[in-house]
Amino acid sequence: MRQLLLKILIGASFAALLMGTMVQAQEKSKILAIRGGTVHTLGDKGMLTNATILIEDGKIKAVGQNITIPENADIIDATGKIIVPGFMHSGSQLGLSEISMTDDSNEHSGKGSDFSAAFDVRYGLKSNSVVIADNRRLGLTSAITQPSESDGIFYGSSAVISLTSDADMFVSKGPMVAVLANGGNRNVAWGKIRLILDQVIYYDQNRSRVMKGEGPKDFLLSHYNMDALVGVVKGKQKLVLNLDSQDDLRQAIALKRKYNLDLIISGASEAWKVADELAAAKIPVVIYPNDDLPYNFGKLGASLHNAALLEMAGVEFAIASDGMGTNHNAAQINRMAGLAVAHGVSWQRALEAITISPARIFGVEGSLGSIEKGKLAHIVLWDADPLEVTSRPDYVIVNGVNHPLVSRRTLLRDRYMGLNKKPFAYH
Amino acid sequence: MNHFQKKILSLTLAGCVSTFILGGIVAQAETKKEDKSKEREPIVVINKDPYPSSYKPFHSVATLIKNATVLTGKGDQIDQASVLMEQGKIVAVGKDLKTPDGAVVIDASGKWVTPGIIDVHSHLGVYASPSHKSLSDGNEATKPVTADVWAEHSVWPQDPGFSRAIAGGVTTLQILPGSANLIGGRGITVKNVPSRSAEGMKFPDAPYSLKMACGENPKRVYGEKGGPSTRMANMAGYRKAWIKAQEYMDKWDTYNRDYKAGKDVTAPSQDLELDTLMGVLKGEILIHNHCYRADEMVSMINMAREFNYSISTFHHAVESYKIADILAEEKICSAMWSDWWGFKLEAFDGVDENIPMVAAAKACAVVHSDDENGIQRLNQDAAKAWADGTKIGINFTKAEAFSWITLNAATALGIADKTGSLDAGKMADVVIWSGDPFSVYTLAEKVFIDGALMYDRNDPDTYWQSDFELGQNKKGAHQ
Repeated sequence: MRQLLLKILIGASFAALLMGTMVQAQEKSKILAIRGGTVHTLGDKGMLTNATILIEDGKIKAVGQNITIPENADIIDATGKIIVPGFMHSGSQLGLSEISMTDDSNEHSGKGSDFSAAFDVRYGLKSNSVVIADNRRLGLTSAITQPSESDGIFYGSSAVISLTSDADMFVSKGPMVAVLANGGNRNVAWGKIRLILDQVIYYDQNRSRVMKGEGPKDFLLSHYNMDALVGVVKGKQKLVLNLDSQDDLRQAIALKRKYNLDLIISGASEAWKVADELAAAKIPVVIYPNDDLPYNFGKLGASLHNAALLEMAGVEFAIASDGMGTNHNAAQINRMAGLAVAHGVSWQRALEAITISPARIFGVEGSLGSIEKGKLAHIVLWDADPLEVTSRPDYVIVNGVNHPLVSRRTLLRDRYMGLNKKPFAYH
Repeated sequence: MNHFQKKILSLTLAGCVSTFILGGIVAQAETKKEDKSKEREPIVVINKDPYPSSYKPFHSVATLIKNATVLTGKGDQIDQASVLMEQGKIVAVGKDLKTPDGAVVIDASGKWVTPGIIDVHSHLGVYASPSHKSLSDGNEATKPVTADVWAEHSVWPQDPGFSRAIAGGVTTLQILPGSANLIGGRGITVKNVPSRSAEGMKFPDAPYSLKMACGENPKRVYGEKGGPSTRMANMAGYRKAWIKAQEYMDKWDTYNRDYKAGKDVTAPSQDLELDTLMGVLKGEILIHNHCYRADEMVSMINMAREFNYSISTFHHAVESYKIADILAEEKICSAMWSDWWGFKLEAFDGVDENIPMVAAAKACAVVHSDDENGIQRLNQDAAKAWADGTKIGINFTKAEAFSWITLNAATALGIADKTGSLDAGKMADVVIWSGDPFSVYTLAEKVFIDGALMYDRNDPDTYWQSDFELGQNKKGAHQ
């Protein structure tokens, strides 16, 4: 009996090894060298052919063409591979949902609770997520993971995560997320946002009076939800505001000006119509390049050329995917970037829009977004052009760990590929 | 409304009435008259096509496309080849075609030419954009069996989605009711053309289809509305419907037999729901069955055997790879996404290699969209599935993989004798791509339907705009 139990446990740890959780301890202390590939650094060094990358303690130790590989290093031969930073999703639910439409595997919404701005995704993150493992094998290595809903305009705080499947997945607190369309009609929503921000400023400056019951009592948000917005009104926490129409984009520009917010717009279907104004206001946007249908009146001008026109106007933008592309198919952002290229964006800019641009937009360019010395080693070796729909990663390195390209889905595939040899359940 | 318009309207209304009388059950009215004259009443026949297609191909000219890389749709690639279209039909495909007098010649050097893409699973028109409640016409979620409803009566031809789909090279699509119901109603196969009515898009002589749904959706919708609330009740619900349909068919068969034997018999009264189900039992209407799980697909196959009908296609079919051998044997198509999974428990086992694994088992593999955005890039989904197969050693050629969105899709819809490949005599539904359609950077440049140039990316005169977008958007601004 004991022997059997031991066997099962060994089996279990082998499975864990496959899923990439135990690999970490083994490899982190050793130097990993990647040599021979074409590296798009997305940093000052630009593109390097036949380059070498050294990785130590989860970080990039060196990158360049004349780098000596230490004797004890593990070496990956990257000849013929295209090497890019791991891709970063600018608005996912990764780590917050295993299977949509199930009650007990979804942690991304504060709806029905008293939390709106006070909701914070960091406490419900799931590290050993099959969704994370699957998106990692497809080249996605980091993400903004964010709340999806609440009973008000403010949805709560997001997180920047690494797709590690381990305790080191949490990188930092992310921006506050708000969705204009959840605030009622546009007049009500804009009125509420402004009033809430005014009230938060008052509350923050007069906290002791408020606590004593002096001054106004009818705040739109509860004290704890206002507490969560103090960082936003002080410009210390970024605010992602989701909206689409050119009129709302102009309102957002005015809002930023009045409250001096560190503002990011997501959605932004009609951003191309006000691209110069966005550039002047230095407001970055997160867009979906397949957005071309008038789903509602804010999206009448949705266009496949949005990204190209934003590039021309000099607006900072990141490319993301929505719907199924926020979680289970989040790794498809490379295809979205490719689609933007098909509709006029330069290849380099499209690649930036899923690597260094989101890192900059979300304030994590010190640790993510490019292959440069000192950054977290998020590096993917592709078999061909990484924006191409037919290309696949051959190696995926996250926080310095070379993860096997295995997920529950590939295990299912392999199980049924052998259908004729052995009954499926015995694989 | 001026006088002329009124006249047209009254003529049109009269037209509708006469169609209705020809439509069948009004034959009862004639019965009384004939009783008096003691002449034998005419046999009652249900009109199977009361809303016939009024589609007419658009204007076309003889066109020769030359110097192209051609994928035929049935698995072949021909380099440096020509495609000749005349009178709306494919005339020839090959290396040394002569240019007929007066034909338009298109030099497609560096470009690829394929049959038009066919999407077997769309809700364009029944769940139109803008996605407003007043345009939500895809699920008659009021009872679990609504075999009496026809999607064509919900299709809003002004859905802006059609104009997006043509820019993705889609020439034919099947519009289905949603999957709330066990038996959701009839689908309609249409040509992707601008039209003022659904009949004006209706694919001529395409068989009707019937949408059925397995699993979670009917359970979720009806679980607290009197059932079904379990998969076993789903099965019971379908079986009860088929039993009623068999009885109905027996009544009509008896009536027809007795009438032909000279007996004085009264026809059964027409039942819209059972008409459709009887059409399936008689092999005239094709089953398109929303079904995710392998075990449920097997149950559906067993049920088809119990009631002696066949299943054309399982839709979504995320677990088809688990039973690809069975599906091959049963000759049932699987219409699949390239990568959707996990959005509900019954989709949890979706794998990226589903499509190539099904095709490798020699079962009929189809790539579908079920999405107004996805329909615009089905070539890329085929490419993605092809690449996922290649990466694990399932080696199809691009030409073979392209059949997943052309000939195999036409087979699933029962129109493979009319479109889906570049065979002489078939409809000239043709796309010229800017390059290899297996690349994310490639776009459909010219789209022909029945030989007529319906869309040309380089000619704004050919862009369509729905009435809804008129005056709100610049034509073509979306692309």
